[in-house]
Amino acid sequence: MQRLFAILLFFLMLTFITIASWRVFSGKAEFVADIEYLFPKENPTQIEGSTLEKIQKSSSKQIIFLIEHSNAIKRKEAFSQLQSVLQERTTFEPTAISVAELSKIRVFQLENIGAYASDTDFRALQNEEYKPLVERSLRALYLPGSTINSKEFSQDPLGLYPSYLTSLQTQLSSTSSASASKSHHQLLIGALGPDISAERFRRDLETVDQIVAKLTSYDPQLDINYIGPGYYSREIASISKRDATWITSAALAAVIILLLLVFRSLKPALGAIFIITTGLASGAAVTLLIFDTIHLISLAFGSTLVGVVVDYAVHFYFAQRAGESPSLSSRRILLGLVGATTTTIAGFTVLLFTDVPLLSQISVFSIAGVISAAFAVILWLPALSQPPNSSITSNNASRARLFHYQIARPSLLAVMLLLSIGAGAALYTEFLPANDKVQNLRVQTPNLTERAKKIASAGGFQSNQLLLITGTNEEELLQREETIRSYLSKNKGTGEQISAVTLSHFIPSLKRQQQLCRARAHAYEAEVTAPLIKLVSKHTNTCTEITLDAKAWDTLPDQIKALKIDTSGGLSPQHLMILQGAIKGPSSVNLSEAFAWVKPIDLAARYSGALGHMRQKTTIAILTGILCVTIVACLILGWKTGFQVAVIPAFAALISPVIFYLAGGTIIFFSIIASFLVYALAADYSLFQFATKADDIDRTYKAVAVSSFSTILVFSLLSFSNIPVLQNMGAIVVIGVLIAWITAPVATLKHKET
Amino acid sequence: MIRLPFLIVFSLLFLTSFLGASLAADSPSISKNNIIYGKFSQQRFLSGFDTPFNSQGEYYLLPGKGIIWDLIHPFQSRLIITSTRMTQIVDQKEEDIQGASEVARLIVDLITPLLSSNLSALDKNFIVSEISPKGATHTWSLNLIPKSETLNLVITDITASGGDELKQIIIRKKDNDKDIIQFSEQVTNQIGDQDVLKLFGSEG
Repeated sequence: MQRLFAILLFFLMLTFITIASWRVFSGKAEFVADIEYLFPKENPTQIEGSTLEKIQKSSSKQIIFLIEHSNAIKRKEAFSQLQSVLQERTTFEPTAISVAELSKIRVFQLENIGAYASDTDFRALQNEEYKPLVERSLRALYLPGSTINSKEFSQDPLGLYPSYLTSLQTQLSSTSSASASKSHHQLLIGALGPDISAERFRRDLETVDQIVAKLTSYDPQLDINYIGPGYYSREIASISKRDATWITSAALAAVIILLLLVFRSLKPALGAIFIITTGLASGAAVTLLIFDTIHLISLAFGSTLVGVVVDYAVHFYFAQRAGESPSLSSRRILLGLVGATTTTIAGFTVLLFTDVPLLSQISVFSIAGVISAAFAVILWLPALSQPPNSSITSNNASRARLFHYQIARPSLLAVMLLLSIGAGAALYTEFLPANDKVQNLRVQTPNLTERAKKIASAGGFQSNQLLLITGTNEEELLQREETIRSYLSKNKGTGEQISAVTLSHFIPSLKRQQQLCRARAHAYEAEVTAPLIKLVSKHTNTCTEITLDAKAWDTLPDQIKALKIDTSGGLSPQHLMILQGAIKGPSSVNLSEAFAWVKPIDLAARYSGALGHMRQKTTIAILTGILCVTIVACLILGWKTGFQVAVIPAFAALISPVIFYLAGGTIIFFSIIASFLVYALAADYSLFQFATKADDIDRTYKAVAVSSFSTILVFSLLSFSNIPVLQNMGAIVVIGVLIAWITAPVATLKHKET
Repeated sequence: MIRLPFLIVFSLLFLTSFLGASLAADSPSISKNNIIYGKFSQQRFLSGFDTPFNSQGEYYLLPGKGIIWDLIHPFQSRLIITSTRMTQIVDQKEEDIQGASEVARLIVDLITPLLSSNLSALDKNFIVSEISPKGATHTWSLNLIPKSETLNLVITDITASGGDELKQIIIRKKDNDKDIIQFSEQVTNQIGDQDVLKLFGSEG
């Protein structure tokens, strides 16, 4: 019966692996490394939900180029060449407003010339400061090269429209996708189409690499740096794959060498490889079957399962005695194994409820991995093993064990309990400050850091800020945009340059159009404008009113249309406003305080907030989990023994992030996730030591020591990873496992007592 | 605020004047501190207005640095264009034209090849055709149509003509408006670094 079950399970696992492989090769399952995939999906019914989702989608596929050359002409040539080759060979498009689009707007605007005036001219008219406007118009009549036109001059003698056009171009150039300074050119491109597949995007990025390499090979002085969320994603993907491969290989090699040294036999090493392979293959297969999109960090983290599942094989081989059937050996570790596996599963199950795709995948990978590894130890390993002629290891660890067991004192138990409560409170109350900045997750390589530094020092688009403006109707939104523009103009700091691009720049509110019409009529009657007005025998005060109707909408460039949020889902009307140059100035801070209907949209802050929220939720989850397990342990084993068993994993899990912090580490959301892992591992050590029979006590002690050592070995490798999350988690697991191993004898107080 | 299209057109005028000058004089490339200057007078004809608007002034070009346009009559105004910025001075008040550096660079980029007799560079921004090539009479005439869509909205075509030096350009605009600009007293001279600094300031 047991054999039949073992065979069935084996074929089930093979089926899983086959289907998972087919899903990968047929493209049904896709690997991603995008940062937004780390976070729960935005709620589209919330006011910012759909907006944020749109911005996330478009910004995730944007790249910023920084083109540098000491020769301005060559720099500009390289800039133009790059721009045209990118458009020709990739799906990337500059997000700038094209000349053709501007011409289209101009035709529409000339038909409605009376609706337009720059903010400066509008204020001058309202304040009846006509003289500068008159002088400007007279100058335009005489200056060589002026674009003054008889028809426009008759309609607009004060030259409000050309001035508006210049002002608009200034606004657009300071927030547009292509800019130039004395030393460099910048270009922002993006694969803005929603249908761009990950594969196409990857190919486009490769083409970008080739184009840049070719351009720079012609001229060694030319330097082109490029970076962006899309580029980061590709780098993360490549680094995650590389890390997953080498960490798994190095971990496997380290564990095999350790087992060879410990057992001085090839059999346990081969058995351990079998268990590790089973765990990893099953974990990966089940994850690929359940999820269509798999984050590469979950695969990299999954590879650390090597350190957990190898413990099961270690316990099996340590339990074997001369002449004893392997089935009997496996049964002797059954209690400890079931307890350890159950605790690990319980720990990782909590992660399933965090609503974070990455954590759900880590959870599924780990649960499937440990279950299959546990079954492999109980069912398959004995079937593949022969009864040993002599015990693989002797039960002779007494001296070391006795020395170590000296720490197993009730007083230590009390100290551990108190420290656990203190550490738990410190984490919950954030007495130990956490750093939830999403930037902490950024992959750090010298090349990426160098590029990011260069582009950051050039400033440019990185200081663009998005504001979300809400209102009850379009007219109100346009008026509110104009209010902000006026507010910024009045409140900007000395020397502060703030540019804004809004829909109201193209379609002014009706209120403003009416005010402009009245103010202009008043100006035409003023004494100071008389010399100018006299020149135009047939001047007209054109006051056509324009609204955001279909005709006006068609003339708008796509980038401006994108400022109007689609509210077909029943949301209240919303507009976006691009603000440049005010991120660090006082104006942007005051803006959301001054107007309740303005919300700054900061993706990084949003992500950081989400990380902080998830960290708090996870901290509560681990504290609740520890409390529940302790209560259950006390109910089953009695309060004293229950405490002895439960306090070790609780102490290791809670104190490890504290020690990590005190040693200079940063507590992030993933540090708490690492604590879960520590809890599961420490529970293994505690339960195996607790469940062991008196005549197996030395064997179990050695097994726990070897298991701890192998886990430390594997997780130490994570600190060499380029992924900061894995570094952080690796360090905490190493600290936690070390503490768990040192304090594990506390679980054996019952042996002492008996 | 200065009108951006005005600056573009102004620059075109300036360019064409030197196109003529270089054609007429077959001038070799001009060294770093060679300044070219002269006088101009303009007649602007606007439809519906009985008399043209007349103005006079001077221009200065320093290849590699930038150009200056001085209006003297009917009022005084100075416009400085360098590779990185545009500045207008009226009544001793200096005003930077924001967001115009790209235009400024375009102008300087075009003037330099013109003065070094690299006329093929003109093809990048204009459709150039010779109406009357330089012959025994030493007179010539060129027709230029801007390739830029933005400029095409304002200008239909430009005619530049001259003899040993540029004499006249006519800019025909939409709605039958036109500007006729005449150039005279063109001189090329060497100036010192201090003078360059005085003219163009630190941006020079």
